[in-house]
Amino acid sequence: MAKEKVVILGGGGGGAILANLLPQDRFEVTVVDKSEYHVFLPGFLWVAFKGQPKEKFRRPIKSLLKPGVNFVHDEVVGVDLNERTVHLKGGGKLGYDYVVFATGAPLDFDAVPGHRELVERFGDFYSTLENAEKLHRTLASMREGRFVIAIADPIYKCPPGPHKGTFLSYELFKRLGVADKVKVVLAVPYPHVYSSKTIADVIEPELEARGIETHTFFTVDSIDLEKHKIYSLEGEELDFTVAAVVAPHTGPQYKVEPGNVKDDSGYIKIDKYTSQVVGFDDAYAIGDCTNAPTSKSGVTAHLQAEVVAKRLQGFDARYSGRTNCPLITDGKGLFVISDYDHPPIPVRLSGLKRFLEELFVATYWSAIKYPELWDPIFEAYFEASAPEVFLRYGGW
Amino acid sequence: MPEKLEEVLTGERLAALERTLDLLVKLDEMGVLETVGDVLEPDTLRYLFKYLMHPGLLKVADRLDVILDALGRVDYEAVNKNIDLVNKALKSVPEEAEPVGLGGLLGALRDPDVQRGLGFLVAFLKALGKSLAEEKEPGKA
Repeated sequence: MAKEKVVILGGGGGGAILANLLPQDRFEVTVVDKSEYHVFLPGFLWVAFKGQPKEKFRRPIKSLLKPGVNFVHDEVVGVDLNERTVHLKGGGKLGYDYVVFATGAPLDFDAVPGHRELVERFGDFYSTLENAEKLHRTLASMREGRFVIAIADPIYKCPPGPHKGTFLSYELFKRLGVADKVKVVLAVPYPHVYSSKTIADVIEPELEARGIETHTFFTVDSIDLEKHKIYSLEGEELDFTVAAVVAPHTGPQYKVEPGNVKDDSGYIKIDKYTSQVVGFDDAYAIGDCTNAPTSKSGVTAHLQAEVVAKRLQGFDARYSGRTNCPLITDGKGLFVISDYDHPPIPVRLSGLKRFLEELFVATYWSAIKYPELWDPIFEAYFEASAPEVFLRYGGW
Repeated sequence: MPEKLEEVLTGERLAALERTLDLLVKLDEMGVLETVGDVLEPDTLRYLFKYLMHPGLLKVADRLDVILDALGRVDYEAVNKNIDLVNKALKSVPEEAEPVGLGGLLGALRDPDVQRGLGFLVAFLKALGKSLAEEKEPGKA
């Protein structure tokens, strides 16, 4: 029997795990990516605030894929779902039996006036390893003033990312001996310091204890680099010495036919449980590029990749919408645990969860390369820590 | 990337490799390597982790610092002295104890065993009350 051709667009977390999960005696798997490198996005925090070398968080995609998986280094410029064809910038075309969108959510630095100049001046911890490195140099040279972290759109990847940046930057300033002279400021678009009040109630005292200034209902509208001010849609303004703003995200920029498989924000419309592209039984989308009503996070991409791998093999599998986003302070951590049926459950900050986050970062590459080792561990963990289970225990 | 074996095997690495090889031979002679190879099957791992990742265990592990702190302050000699007593009493309690009203209570008080148990409880309650008073106002109890 001829092997079925699976073309995976994107060699990030979701794409690479899916490629490695598909049995090669049944599928001919091809991964396409415009970059030769897979970047571990949460590593930006470690580079920006801990000064770790950026090489640690970047590996050639080819080195992460199992032998036998094809890798095409080219940019996708169009996908015709009716013709079952992927068009590449280099002029090539790829036919498929199944296509999986896993190209992530690009950042739009032109949506907020002054944002591009801000990133060029200070760097940031959301876009590239180089910008994370630049932000570290900027912060390490600060001796006084205000470091502001703000958000331009409530929908962004890694929802606790700005909060992690806040706590880790405070830790950095403490290590540098300037924590009493540099004010860390966190501005968020929601009514509480975190989008979920349950989680906000846990971290608010921690922010207060460190003297971190917080602002709610603050959605970045524009940035004036000369005046060192950030203006919000709600009509407020914030002074900064150095600032890092999370840019609005977009859906895939390449053309997809028919155009109505993208929603108004450009994200690929999928069935939130099966990841199947609406209207097509031979197309799937996973991770940040979809309109699934859950967090844009690595865990989502990973779990959706497992669901798609099972469905392509003829098994029934459904993604519950489970999140497990880590939020860390300088010494403790928690996980934002939720799914489609449960808002974030009550959790506490603990040393164990801080250790688990560190362990997750350390074993990331191994988890991508060897899903047969890690999947039983993740499966057991996600089952034991499911929201409905932990709610019976009063949270975690 | 080094191409020749002698470029890879520096003196330090060679020494480490020799020690590793000796260890591997030892593990192989004991059958450890073969056993580990047999055990490392996806289903074995799946059931092992399913068993270990009990929500109760995750919760206990998360509070290990709190639990160890509490356990560290337990007077084990006192526990050891009374544990058999408590175990025996718990085992003797009937599965469905009869409800007791005020009249029944007065009747039960004539039983010497109940009197001894009550004496124990009164002594315990007195000590507990003293501890509570000390906690509230240290040095005044």
